[in-house]
Amino acid sequence: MNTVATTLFLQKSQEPMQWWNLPEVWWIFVGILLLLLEMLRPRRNSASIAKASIFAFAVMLIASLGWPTGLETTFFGGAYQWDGLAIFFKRIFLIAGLATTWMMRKCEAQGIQGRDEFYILPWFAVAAMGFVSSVGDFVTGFVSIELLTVCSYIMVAFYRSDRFSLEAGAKYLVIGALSTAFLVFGITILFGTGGSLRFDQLANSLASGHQDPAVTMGVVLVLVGVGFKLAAAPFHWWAPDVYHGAPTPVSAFLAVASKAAAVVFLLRLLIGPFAPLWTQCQQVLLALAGASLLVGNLGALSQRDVKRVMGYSSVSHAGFILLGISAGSQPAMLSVCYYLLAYTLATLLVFGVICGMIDKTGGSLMRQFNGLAQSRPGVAWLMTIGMLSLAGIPPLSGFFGKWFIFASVWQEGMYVMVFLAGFTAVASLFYYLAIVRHMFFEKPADGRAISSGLSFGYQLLLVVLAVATVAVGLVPGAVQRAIYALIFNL
Amino acid sequence: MIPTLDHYLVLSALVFCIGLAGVVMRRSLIVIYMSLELMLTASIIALAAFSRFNQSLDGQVLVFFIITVAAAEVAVGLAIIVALFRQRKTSHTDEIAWLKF
Repeated sequence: MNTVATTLFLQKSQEPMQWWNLPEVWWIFVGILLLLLEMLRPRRNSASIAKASIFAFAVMLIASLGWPTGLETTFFGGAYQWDGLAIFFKRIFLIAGLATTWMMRKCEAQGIQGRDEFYILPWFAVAAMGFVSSVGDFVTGFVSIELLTVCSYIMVAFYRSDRFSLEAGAKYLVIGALSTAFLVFGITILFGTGGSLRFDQLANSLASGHQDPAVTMGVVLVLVGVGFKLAAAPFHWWAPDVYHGAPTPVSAFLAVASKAAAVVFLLRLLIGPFAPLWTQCQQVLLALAGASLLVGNLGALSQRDVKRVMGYSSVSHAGFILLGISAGSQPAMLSVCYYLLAYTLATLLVFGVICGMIDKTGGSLMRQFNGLAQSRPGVAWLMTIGMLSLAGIPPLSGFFGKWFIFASVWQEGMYVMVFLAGFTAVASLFYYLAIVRHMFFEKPADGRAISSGLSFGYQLLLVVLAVATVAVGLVPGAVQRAIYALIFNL
Repeated sequence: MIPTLDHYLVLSALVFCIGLAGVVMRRSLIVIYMSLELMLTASIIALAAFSRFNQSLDGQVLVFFIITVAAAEVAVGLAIIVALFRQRKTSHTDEIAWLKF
């Protein structure tokens, strides 16, 4: 495996990295190559492009094992940083891209209109997120976040004949543009007060002038912009609607990859330019975290559609992640990374099951999953694993994610927040288990059993995600040590 | 009177607030989208002014990126709005709220 990787990315750590070896350069190259392939291909049949895209994601994921770790360098005059944090998030993005493209293929097999761009756009979105994870100045940050957002608009509104998809696209468009406007205005104010757009220079100049109210305003505006992308309350109201209306693979992509990109952007800001303003940022983050935990978990209780439940659930998980970030310690950062890994695997699993079943159940309402355990026990169990992990039931990775975050927040002395988070985590059991109850204990409404099966490849994807969800929970210490070694360059 | 940095910043803040008010209060998708562009314009004014008065070109560079990105966003955004209009025969936000539980 490693030899493939080293031939793909010529260098190991002794040789200095070159900009043309950066993974994003390769990812964009693959995207353009796929576009050219689509143009040259004789028949209008997306199968070959889909396969090529999935294959390329798999190759890039394997190649990511050969990336030089334990090395911190910058490129393009400090605009791009290569370090362990970036590597961790780039791998998450690749996993999300691979699973999403696979689900898109499944959606098209279900006869929903698909075109080749559906498989090509994730490449540009993943490359954009890769740049976000390495961001070193606000110009790069702004442009890469916008590339991600514009790709997401197209993907959300992709089913042009479907009224829900289009409406979700329009909503996401307005919200995305609004968050961009806040973000840019915040950046503008910071540029005016700090005199630079580079993260390191900005950190220096903000350290001396952090009493300035204009700086606080700029920071808050930037955090509002990030809050929209993160779907943190009170900037969350788009999430249930958009997750509901968007094609299921795209919902998965937004829930996992887009959120992870916002998290890494936030982390980069907090360890970079906002480091001198940590106390102000911490208050904002705690407020966002508390609101997200309450709104996400309580809002999901009254929902009847699994995709909407996942929308609110993603708000609540944004709350847990923000809570971990606001603890601000080194173990807290590790627990956030672990949490994000567990969340990624479980969410992809749940959306994968929804995507595979949605043509058989006829929709994503909870009652349409009635009796799934009798007709398709395997699929029902996979869904259950995903739901239980998201709810935080002990042997699964989601439990340890929550546990680590609670522990690191407790260490910082924020006991009230731990109790609030614990209370909302208990509340979340009701809606996650409601779906399980519908699958296992309710009779199908029209007495019709869900019969036809999933292809072997798709089953493989779901099983791998489920096994990973369980495995990450079985050896939480080892996984956390691996993340520690990666991020802190040991 | 020679305009100072403050004049530009007040103008920029006004334009931003007008844009935000438009997004919150108007009910036509096209007008909302115009208001969003107005908010970006506010940043452009302030960035150009900061660059001019701080003797630093970084802000001007960001202005070009904002213009380019806004153009790309408008291309995609108008396509979505037109597709929505073709289907629903309206671009009024009150009449396209179908996504509810």
